[in-house]
Amino acid sequence: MQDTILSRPDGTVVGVNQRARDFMPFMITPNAPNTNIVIPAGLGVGEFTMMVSGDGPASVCGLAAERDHGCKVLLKQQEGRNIRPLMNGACHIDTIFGTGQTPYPMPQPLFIDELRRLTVTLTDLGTTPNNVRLNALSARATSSEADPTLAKARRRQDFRQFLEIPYWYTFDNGFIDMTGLTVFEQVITIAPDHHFMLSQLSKISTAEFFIDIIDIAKGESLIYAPQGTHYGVSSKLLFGDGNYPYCFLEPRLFQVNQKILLRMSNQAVGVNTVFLTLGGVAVADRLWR
Amino acid sequence: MDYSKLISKVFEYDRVTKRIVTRRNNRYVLPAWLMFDTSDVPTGVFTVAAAGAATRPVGWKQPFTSLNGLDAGFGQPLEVKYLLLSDSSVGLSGANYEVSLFEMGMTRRFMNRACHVRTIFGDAKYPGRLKESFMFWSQHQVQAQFNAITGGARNLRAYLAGAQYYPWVPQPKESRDKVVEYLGKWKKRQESVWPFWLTTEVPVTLAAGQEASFQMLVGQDAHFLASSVTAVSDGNFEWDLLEVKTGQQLSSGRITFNNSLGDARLPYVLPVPYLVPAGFRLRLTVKSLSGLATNRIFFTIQGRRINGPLVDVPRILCNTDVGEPQ
Repeated sequence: MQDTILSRPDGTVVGVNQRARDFMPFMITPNAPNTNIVIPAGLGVGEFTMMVSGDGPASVCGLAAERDHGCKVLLKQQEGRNIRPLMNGACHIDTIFGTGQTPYPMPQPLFIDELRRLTVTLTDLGTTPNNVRLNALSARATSSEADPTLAKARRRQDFRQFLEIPYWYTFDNGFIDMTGLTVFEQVITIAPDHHFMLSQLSKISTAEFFIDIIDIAKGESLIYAPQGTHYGVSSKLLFGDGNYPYCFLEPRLFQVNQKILLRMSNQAVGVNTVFLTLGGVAVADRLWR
Repeated sequence: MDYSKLISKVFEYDRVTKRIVTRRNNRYVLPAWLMFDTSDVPTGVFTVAAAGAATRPVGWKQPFTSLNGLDAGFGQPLEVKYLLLSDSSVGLSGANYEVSLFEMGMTRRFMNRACHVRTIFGDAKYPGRLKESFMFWSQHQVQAQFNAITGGARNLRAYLAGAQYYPWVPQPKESRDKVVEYLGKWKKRQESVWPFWLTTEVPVTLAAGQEASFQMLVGQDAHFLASSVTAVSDGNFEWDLLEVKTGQQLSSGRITFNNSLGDARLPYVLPVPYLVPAGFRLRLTVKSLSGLATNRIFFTIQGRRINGPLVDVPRILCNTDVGEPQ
C-alpha cells in the first residue's frame, strides 16, 4: 500500500491518497445464519463456511472467538473441489483463537477470495450446549478494477499461497490425559506434502507439565543447555495460549515426514489434560525438489 | 532497533582525551508526563462531580521555556503519544465517565461527541496510544470536560505522556538543527492532520435483546482515517458497521464485543486503516446480547482527521511520496 497521507518534504499535507479506499479492514464470520454456532453437548458440528464475496480478496491476519466453554476446532481451506486441511487434527479453540482485545496472530496470512473459502468443524468438550462465535480478522482489497496493480498483487498472493499457508500441528493422537507424576511421550509427524516452519507455541492444560521437544531425525532438542544437554522446561515458560502464543524470533524448519517427539513430565498429582498446538507455515514440498 | 545509533546518541568519542564520554548536552528530547494545569488544579487531582451534577472544565497547559531565543519560536513542545488516567477510588477499570477534549489555541475538537473515558485513556501498563501523535505546542491549552455517567463524585489524575522537545539546548548544534527541522514539519502537518475519536451521535442504550442503529457522522470539513476500535458496555452485544454512501460493510456477519473489541488499553487494531471521506457517515447496528434491562454501549473509533483533497496518486506521486515526520 502507498502512504495514505501525502505530504511534501517540509511536512505540508497536499492530499489524501484516494487509493486508500481500495483497502479496508474486514471481519469474516461463518456465513449466515451460523454467526452464532450452537454445538450440542459433547458432539461435533460442521462444516461451516467462512467466505467473502467476489467484491475483493481478503488476507486473514488474526483469529478471535467467543465461546461458552472449550471445544475443538478443525480448519480447512476449500478451493473449488479441492479441500486442503490447515491442521493435522482438531486443535483446542483456546490455542488458536484469541479475543477481540488480543486476537491470535496468524503465523502466515491466509488468502481468501470467492474461490477460496475457510471451513470450520467444531467439537464440544463440555457437558452443556456451547455457543461459539468466530471472527477472522482480515485486510481486504475492495476492488481489483480500481487499481490495476491489485490484479498483479492478487496473482502474486495466489502464487505465494501456493507456496506457503498457515498450518497447525497437534498430537497425532489429539489431546492426552496424563496421569499423576508420570512421563508421557507423544509424536507429531509432519505431513508428506510439505515442510513445516514452526514459529508459535500455544497450549491449554489442566496443570503444569515439563516438556522437551526433540527433532527425532537429528536427535536434537529445541532446548539447549550447557554442554549439549537438554531437559524438560516448564510448560508455563515455553507455551502461551490463543491470546498470547509464544512466538519464535526465528522459525524452526521441520522437513517432510519428519517426526517431532514431545516428552512430557506431569507435575500434577491428578489427571492433567493437555491440548498442545504448534503453529507455523506449511511450505510446499514439490517446489523444492 | 539499531543499537549503534542509540549508543551514539548517548555517547561519543572524545578525540582529545581519546575516551568515550557521555554527551551531557545532548538533551534536546526527554520523556515527559504533563499533568493538569497546576494553576487550576495544584495537586493534580481533579474531582468529577456525581452523575447528574455539573462538572467544571479542566485542562492541560504546555509551559514555555527558552534560552537566548534559541528555541526558534517553538518553546518546549510535547509530542503526546499516550493518554493515562487513574481514578483514585477504583483505578481505571472502574472509571465510568465521559470526556470530550478540545484544543483551545487551534479551536479544534478531538471528537464528534463525548466518549467514554476508558475508550480513550489507558494506564501505564497498557496506555491509550494515539495513532497520530499530537504535538502540544508551548502556551497552548487542551480542555477536557468530564461528566460522570453513574455514581458519586470521583477523584482522578490524567496525564498526557510522550516526548518533550527542547530545541533551545545549545549543544550540539547539528542536533538542535535537526530538532528544529523536525518540529517545523510537525507544525505544517498539524495544520491538516490531528488525532480524532469518532463515536455515535447519540448515546446508545438498549433494553435486553433490543436492536437499533446509530449514526456516526464524519463531518464535511475533513476526512477520517480509522485505525482502531474500542468499546465499553454494561453487557455483551453484537454489532456491525456500514458505510452508508457506498454500502460498504466491514464484516460478513454480526460480531460480538468479546470476539472483536477491546478498550483503549488493548483496542482492536484494524489490520489496515479505513479511510472515510468527508461527508460520509457510518451506521452502527447493535443488538444487546445481555439480559440486563439497560445495556449502555460506548463505541469509539480512534484515528485521525485529515484536511486535504482526495487525490489521484500517480499524477503527483513523483514529488509527494514522502513518509510521515520521523
